[in-house]
Amino acid sequence: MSDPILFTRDLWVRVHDPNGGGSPIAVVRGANIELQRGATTCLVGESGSGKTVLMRALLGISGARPGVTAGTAWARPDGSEFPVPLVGPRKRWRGRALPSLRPGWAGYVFQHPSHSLDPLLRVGDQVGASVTIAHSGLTPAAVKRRVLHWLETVHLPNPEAVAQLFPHELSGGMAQRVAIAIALATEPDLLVADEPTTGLDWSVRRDIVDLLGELCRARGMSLLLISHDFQVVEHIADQLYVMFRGELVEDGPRRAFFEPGPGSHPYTRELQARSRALEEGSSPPRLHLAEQPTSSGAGCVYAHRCPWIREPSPERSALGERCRSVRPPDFRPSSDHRVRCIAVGEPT
Amino acid sequence: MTLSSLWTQRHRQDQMGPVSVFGFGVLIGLVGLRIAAMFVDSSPRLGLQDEQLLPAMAGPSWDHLLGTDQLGRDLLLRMVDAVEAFFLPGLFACLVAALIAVPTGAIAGYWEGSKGAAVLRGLLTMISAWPRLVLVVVVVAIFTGSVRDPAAWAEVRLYLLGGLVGLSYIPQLGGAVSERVQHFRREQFVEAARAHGLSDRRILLWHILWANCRHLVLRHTCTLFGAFILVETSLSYLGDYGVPPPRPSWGNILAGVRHSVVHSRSLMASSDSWSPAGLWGGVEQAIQHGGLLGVLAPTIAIAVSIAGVLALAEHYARRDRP
Amino acid sequence: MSAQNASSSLVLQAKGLSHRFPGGVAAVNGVDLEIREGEVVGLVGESGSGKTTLGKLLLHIIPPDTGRVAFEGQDLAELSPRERRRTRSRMQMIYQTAAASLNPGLTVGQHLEETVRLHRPEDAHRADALVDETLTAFRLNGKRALHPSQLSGGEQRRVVVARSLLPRPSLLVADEPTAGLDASVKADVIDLLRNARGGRTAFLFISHELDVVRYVADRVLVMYRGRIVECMPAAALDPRDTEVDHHPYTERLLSAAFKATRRVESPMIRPTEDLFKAGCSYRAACHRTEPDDPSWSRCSQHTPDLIPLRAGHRVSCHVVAPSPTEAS
Repeated sequence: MSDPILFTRDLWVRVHDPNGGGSPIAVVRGANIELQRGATTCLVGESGSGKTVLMRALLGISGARPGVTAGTAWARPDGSEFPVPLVGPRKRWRGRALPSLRPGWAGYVFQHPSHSLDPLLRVGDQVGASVTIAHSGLTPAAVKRRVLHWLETVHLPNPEAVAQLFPHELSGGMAQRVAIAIALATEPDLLVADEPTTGLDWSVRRDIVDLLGELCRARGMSLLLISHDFQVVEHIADQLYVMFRGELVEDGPRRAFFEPGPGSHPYTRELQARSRALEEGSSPPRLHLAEQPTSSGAGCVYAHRCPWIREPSPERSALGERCRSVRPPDFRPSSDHRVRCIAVGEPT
Repeated sequence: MTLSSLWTQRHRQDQMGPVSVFGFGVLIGLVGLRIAAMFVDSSPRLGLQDEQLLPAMAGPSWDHLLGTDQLGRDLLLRMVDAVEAFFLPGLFACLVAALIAVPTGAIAGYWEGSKGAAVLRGLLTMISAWPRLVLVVVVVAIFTGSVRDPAAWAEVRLYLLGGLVGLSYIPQLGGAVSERVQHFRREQFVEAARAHGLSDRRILLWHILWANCRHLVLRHTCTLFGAFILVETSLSYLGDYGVPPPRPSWGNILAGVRHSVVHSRSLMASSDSWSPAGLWGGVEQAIQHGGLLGVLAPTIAIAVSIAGVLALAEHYARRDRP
Repeated sequence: MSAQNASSSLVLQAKGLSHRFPGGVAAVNGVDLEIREGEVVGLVGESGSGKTTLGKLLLHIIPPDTGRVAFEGQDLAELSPRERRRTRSRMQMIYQTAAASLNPGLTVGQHLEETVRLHRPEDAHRADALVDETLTAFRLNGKRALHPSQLSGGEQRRVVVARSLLPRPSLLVADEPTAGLDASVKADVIDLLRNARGGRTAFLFISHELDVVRYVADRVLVMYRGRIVECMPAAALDPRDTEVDHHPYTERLLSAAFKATRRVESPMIRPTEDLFKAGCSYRAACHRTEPDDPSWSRCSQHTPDLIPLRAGHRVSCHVVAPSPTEAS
């Protein structure tokens, strides 16, 4: 029944110290991700948790930083498996006749459309460049037809006029729609949106998220949405992965997160409480950012911030030491729901 | 150990690299030599009242580590003493350049668009339009011609040279400062500082010049100091307008010794036919005679000093990130 | 707003503030505004609505073209530059981009020491200890000798907040103090702002995030293209409450919340006509009126006033809040 379009097995990304000193820093630690075909998967976590690094690694986009990866990632755009060339060890694939992925099989939408659009090119030409990736050898008229089609698909009014504009003439929301049109023009099987609403007005945030969801439903496209905003996630996600300091601490289907049921990870609870507090205008939970994480790397990654350790209830009082020293095992409340937490695994 | 720890890594560049170590090493060396030069007196003797004249062009020995020059003076002492010729005048050049160029550039940059700034900018352009090095030589020549005893005025002439080289550097330094100030003036932190209640004077002096331009100025003064060493030793080597011969300068030491070496080489060339053995013999002879060391020592000293000062300039350039 | 608040003294009073830039990009058009002691006023609107410009006009960082600003009873335009600088210790501003409003060449400690020397001369003798106390209060221990670029986004923001609260201002204009921050860090900065002021500092809290503003503010102003179009108690800014009438623009903003019960499509046209022309500036994008409606001539010819709907709630819209003279 499982039909992933992209999956990883124990993916690690280590980033080299730019000055060569010390061992590489593990930014992603043993990620197992499965993006189901036609579903919306959300990767949630705060900045610095390694979300973007993970996304770049598993799509084989070499980032600005040199990375070392271990583990495997496989893409199945049309049922047959392709290895994703991971950022680091390209050499491993050299010399083998590898089936290569169709260029443009995945499309990207980044935060701050102003950064991803070329300021010197007209909108139409940028979408056109993307069109020719999917279809080479089109006549200019055919390209133009497709450009207008894609601009219309993202609900831009008067596509003819918009195609003639330069990016600086667009509002933030329009620019992000153009960025989505560019991503769509390669006719991708997978759309990746990395924080697509940050840097945009609050008022167009929902428009963009709704548009992404609608496009994916209509085209049977899979969507990977990376966000730190639980409100966005709650709105759109089918499947969730929660990331904290390089580790996927929890994953599961939508109902595991938004319906009452067996416990979720304390970090997920923190995120949820915070987003709910803003919605209801109540005071958000106090954040204990001051405490530094232990450097040893042993124990739970969330231990330094975990409210259950900080203010232990009588039945959980014995947990603190174990959480700090023992790497928590995966606990599965149901077959498709996984939580990496000792306390959740041992209900009191 | 998340990505946030990478934040700090950009700043590891601030640690001293080999270039910085070399630069500061040379600087400390030069300062040490300048202090030593105060206790060394090698020039006025000239064998006048000294009964025990040393042999001329002697090779290195324990008494005279670098041997002697063509007049039998200890080469090491003269090398040390020669630092006097460029050290303080060089600093004077830097001082003149900085004292004039920094305020000029700062005002021209900060009050960009005002009348005063336009005048200052015009001034900088005018100075930069002159053929500066020629002008320096001409002014020094006129000065030399107008005093009765040029040798007695040699010290003044060195400072004059320093001042002129410093003046000639003003357009470069002033331009760099004004460009930098102009750039920072438009930054948001300047508006934020003003909104915070700071005066323009404080913003310009502390927030822009001190916090963001000091490395730039240091970098340029180091370059200028290097340039002055080159100008002084070159003029002294050429003769007339540099350090007059009884006083040592790396330039005139080189000039004097070179003359003797060329002379002896031409003798050797006439006596021997060109053969590898003959050439090696000539080199050996030159070392023993102190000629080669006499050429090498000032050449290396000039090269190392300038390279060191430029390394220091590089050190500040790396620290200087707008 | 409590009765005690209403009687407390005005910190800031602005009348008829207008400003236009040479290009006419972001401008402010005839804004009246009063801020009382210790009050938190939220200012919401989309980018380009003139929120930031209004904040700067209020503090005389940009002198207004027309209109007057009185801060604690003193007309700011009448002060000499020196006196105005001195007044700045009681009115502070937090800029939107924390990274850009800190000097890249100075350390965190140098920033704060400067503030103590400048704005709290009476504490200058214990500047060092005071800076350390402040750093502890803002959880920046150990960051004193670091440069801004060595800090994370949240830490930079906390430095900026610390610097603007150190002079103990009576008014703080906070321009998008949470923009670009993670949800968790955002809540953290808001809490610092709320707690650190000790209830005595009045805030103008500028943001485009309605949920944040509702949480922070006592009273909310909605700005559209240089005008205040609505003024209401913060509790009225609830996307799930359909009972309360709002300006059509506010309605649209509220409908953008994920939990909103009504949905108003945002038009993707950029209004091009002159901001200073007569007529409602929102009419071209308005979903409450059409050019075919009989009321259209009123919307296009008369600029609506802020009409009270109920206590503390005023709306500038011919449709939602017709002026009493017209209604009669």
